Amino acid sequence: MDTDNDFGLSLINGEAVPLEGVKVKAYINGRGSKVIITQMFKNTGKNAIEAVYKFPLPSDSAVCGFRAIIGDRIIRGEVEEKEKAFKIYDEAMAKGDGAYLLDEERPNIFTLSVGNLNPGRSAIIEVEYISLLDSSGNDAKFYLPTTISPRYIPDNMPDQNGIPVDETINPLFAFDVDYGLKISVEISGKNHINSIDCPSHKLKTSYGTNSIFQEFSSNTVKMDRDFVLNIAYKEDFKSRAYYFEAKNSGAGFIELDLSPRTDEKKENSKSLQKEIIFVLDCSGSMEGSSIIQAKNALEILLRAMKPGDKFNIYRFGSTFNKFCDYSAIYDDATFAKALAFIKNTEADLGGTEILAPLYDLFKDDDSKNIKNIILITDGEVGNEDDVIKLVKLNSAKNRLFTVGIGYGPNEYFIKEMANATGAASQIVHPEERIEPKILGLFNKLSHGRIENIKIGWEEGTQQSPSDVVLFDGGNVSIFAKTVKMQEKIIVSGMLDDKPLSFAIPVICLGEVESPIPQLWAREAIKELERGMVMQPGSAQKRRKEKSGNDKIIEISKEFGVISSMTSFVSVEERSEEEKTKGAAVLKKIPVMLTKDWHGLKAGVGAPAPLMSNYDSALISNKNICEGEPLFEDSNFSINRSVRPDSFKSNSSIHYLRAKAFSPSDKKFIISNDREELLLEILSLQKPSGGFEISEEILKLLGIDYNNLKVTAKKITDSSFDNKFATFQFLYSAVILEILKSKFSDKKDSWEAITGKTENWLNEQKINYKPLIDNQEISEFIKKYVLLNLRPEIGKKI
Amino acid sequence: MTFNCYNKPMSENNKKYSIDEISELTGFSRRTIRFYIEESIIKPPAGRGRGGFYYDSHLSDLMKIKNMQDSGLNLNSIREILKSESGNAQILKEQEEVFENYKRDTWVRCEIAEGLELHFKRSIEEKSGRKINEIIKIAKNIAKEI
Repeated sequence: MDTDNDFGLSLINGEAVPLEGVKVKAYINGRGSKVIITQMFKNTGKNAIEAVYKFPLPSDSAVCGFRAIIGDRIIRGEVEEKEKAFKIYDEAMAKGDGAYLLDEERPNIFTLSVGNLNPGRSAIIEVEYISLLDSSGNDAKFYLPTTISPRYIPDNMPDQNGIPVDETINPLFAFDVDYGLKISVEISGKNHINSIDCPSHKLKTSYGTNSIFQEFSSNTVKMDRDFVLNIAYKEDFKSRAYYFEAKNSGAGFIELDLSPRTDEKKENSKSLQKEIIFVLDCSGSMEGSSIIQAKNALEILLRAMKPGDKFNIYRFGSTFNKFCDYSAIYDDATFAKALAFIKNTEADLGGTEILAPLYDLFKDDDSKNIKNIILITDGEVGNEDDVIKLVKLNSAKNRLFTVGIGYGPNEYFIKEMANATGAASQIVHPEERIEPKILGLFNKLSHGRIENIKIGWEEGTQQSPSDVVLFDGGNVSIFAKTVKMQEKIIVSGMLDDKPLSFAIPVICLGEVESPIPQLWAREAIKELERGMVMQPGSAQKRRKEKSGNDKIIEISKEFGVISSMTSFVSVEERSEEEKTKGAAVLKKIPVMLTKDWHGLKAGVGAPAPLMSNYDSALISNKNICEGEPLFEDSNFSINRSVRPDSFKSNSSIHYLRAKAFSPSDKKFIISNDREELLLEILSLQKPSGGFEISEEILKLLGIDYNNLKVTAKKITDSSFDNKFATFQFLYSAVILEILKSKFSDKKDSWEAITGKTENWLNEQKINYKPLIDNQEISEFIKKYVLLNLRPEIGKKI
Repeated sequence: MTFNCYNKPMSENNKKYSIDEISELTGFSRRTIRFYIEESIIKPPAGRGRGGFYYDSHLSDLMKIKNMQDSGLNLNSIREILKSESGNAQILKEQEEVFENYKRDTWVRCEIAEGLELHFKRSIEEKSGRKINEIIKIAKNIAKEI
C-alpha cells in the first residue's frame, strides 16, 4: 500500500469506502492539550449514503466541538439528550436534509453518522476535544488512539436498549484500509522541553519561535496503533492552581494541579510484608508481542519483590489457573519456580473472561492486610462496567494496579479499574522500554500513596473528582466549580503515617480564555457516570438513575461537552433540489485491525476459529501490507529495538536509544545510556538481595574487575569459617553506593526495590563486621567509588 | 434476508402508525427500531424511506420481540428463534409445494381390461373425479366387447 499518496478511496468487498482520510491537529501546552480531528467523507457511488464510522478517543477527553463542513457552509453541532439527538437526525434524514450525529458509546469509543451524503458530494467532519496529558515527575504523555481493538463480549452479557453490545462498540474490522492518518502536533514552551520521544511512529521535527512542531515523516500512516508522544520537560511539574470566571454564567472554576514531591525514603526496612497477586491476561488477543511484553513485565516485578513477601500468579482467558493454591512466600526457590511458570505461559486460554479470576481473588478476604493485585492485560473486553463494579465493591481490602499493553489497549478500562481501588495504572506501548514504567508502578505499590487528602475549598465548592488518588512524585488535576475566588488552597493528607500539608496560591486567569469549565464538566459527568455503574438494584436504583441521568444531561448541555447520555447533532437544511430522494444506503466504515492483534503477522489471514469469539465481521479480502515500509524519511534515529529479554542478566547494553530530534539540533539530543545502565544493574539484583557480579557492568562503570577483586581480598572480617564472600559483598556495596551517589535523580526507579540489597548488606555487616585496612567499610566504599567511577556516569545530560 | 413473522397480511388492516407512535406503544426507542429495520429483524416501514409508516403487523412483531426480551432473551437468541420460526414456515410451504407438484405431475394408471390401460394425471382426478369415473365405466363397458 502506498501510504505516501494523498488520501485515496478504499475498496472493501468491491465497494468504495466513503472515508477518504483523517487529519489530526494537536496543540500541547504543558499538561494540557487541544485536539481537532478532521474526517473527510466522499460519496463516489451512485446512491445517497449514510456513512457510519466508529472511532476511538482518549477516555479522559472532554469532547466539546462538533462541526460539519459542507462546501463553504459550517454547521455547528449542538449537544442534545441522546434519543432527542437521534430523533433530530432521523427526521432530517427523512426530509432529505444532511444530518450529522456523534454518539459516545464508551468513554473511549464514539460513533459518527453522516446521513444523506448525496452521490459525488463531500462532507468534512471536525471533532474537537481537550484533555490533560498523563504526567509524572517531569514527563508528560500525549496519547491518541487510532483504531478500536476487537472487544470480547461474554456470552451472557445483556443487550443495551435492545441492541447487542457488540453492535455498539465493535466496528467492522479489516486487515487493511486505504484511508490513513495525518498528524501535526504543536508543542509550546520549546525552551522548557528536554526531549521528545515518539515510540509509536517516526516523526519529523521543525521549530518555531516558542514551539516545536512534530509531523509524521511520511505523508500518512496506517491507523493500526496508538500514537504516543513522550515529552520530558526540564523541570518537574509543580503544584499550582488557576481560577477562571465564566463570562456568561458568572460561575467560577478552579483547576488545582497537585504534584507533591517529598524527600521521604521510598523503602522502610521494617515495612510490613506485602502480598502481591499477579494476574496475567492469556487470552487470544494477547498473542504476539503483547504476551511477550506481559511476561517480561511479570519477570521484572518478580525480581523487584522482597524476601518474605507473599505472592501468587493467576493466568486467565476463558478459564483461569494459578501458580499455587495459596500465596507462596517469596524466596530463591519460589522465585525460580515462578520463573518457570511464566516461561511456560502462552496466550492460549481463549476469551477474556476477567470476572472469574477476580471473583476468586476477592473471595479470599480473611487477611487483615491490603492485598495488592497487579493485572497485566490489553483490556479488550466489552463488559467493562461489570468488572469495574466488582473491583469497586472490593476496593476496601484490595488495590488493583493495572498495566495496559499492546498497540491499542483499552485505555479507559485499564485506568478506571485502578482508579476504582485508589491504585495506579501504566500503559506501555510495545516499542517503549517497559522496565522503568513497571518499576515506577511497583514503587507506587510499595510506598507513596497519600491518604486522607483534604482540600480547603470555600464553602459551596463542587469538587470533581471527589475521591483523589495521589502518589508522592505523581501528578493529579482536580477541578472545582466555586462561588468565589480564593487566594490560596490548603491541601493536607497522610504519607506513610506522617501528616503532610501544603498551600497553593491561586492565580486568577482574568480575561484569558480557558477550557477549565469544560474540564470540570467532564470530570463531574464522569463522576456521575461512575455512580450509575455502582447503583444498587430495584426502584431505588431507577429513581437514582433518573436523577443522575438528568444531572448528566444538564451539565453536558450547559457546557457543550458530550456524555454517555447525550450526543452532538447538526442538520444541514437543503433546498428542494439538493434534498436526498429515497432511502440512503447504509455504509459501515471498516477500521483497521490493531497491529499484532492475536499475533497476526503480515500476509497471514485470521484463522476462522480464532475469530469466533468476535461477532463482528472481519473484512479480509485485502492483503496485509504490514511488511511494507511505512516510513520513507530516515532523518531520525529512533531505535525501536526494545528487547523482550532486556531485563535478563545476559543481555547486552545498547546506547542512545531515543533521539526524538533532528541530529542537527544538538542541544535537544539526549542520551538514555544512564537509564539503560541503571536498568541493567537492577536486572542483576538477586531475589534475596545483593547483585550478581558482572564484569561487563563494572567495565561500563569504569571500574577494573581485577582491581575490585584484589581490593576484596584485603577485607578482614570477624568470622573464622571463611563463609564471608568478600568479593560479592564489596561488589554489591559498591553498586548500591553508585546508585545512591550517582543515580539519585532516578531514585524513583531503584530506591524501593533495592531495599532488600540494603538489608542484606546490613546483615552481612552485623554478622561479619568487615574492615578494610582497619577502616570502617562504608567510608572506604564511598572513597573507592569517587576515585574509580567514570566521571560521566553521574552526569545528567 | 427478511424474517417473516407477521400474523396478518398488511392488506388486512389499514391502521397506520408513525415511528413516534410505534415507539411509544412498544417502548422501543426510535434508534432501536431503526436498528431492527437495518438488521432486517422487522420489515421496513411502508412508504418512502424513513418517513414511512408502520402497521399493526410491525407493532405485533415488536411486541413479540419485547416479550422475548422481558423473559430474559437477548437479541441474538431472539434472532435465532425468529429465524427458526421463519424456517419452519418455509419448510411447511416447501412441503406443500412438493405435494402440489406431486399431484400435478403424477400419472395414474387404471387397467380397463387385460392389455388395456387408461392414464390420467392425479390433478385431473382431483379436479374432475366424477367425470373420470364415468369415463372409466364407459371404457370398461366398451372393453367388454373386445
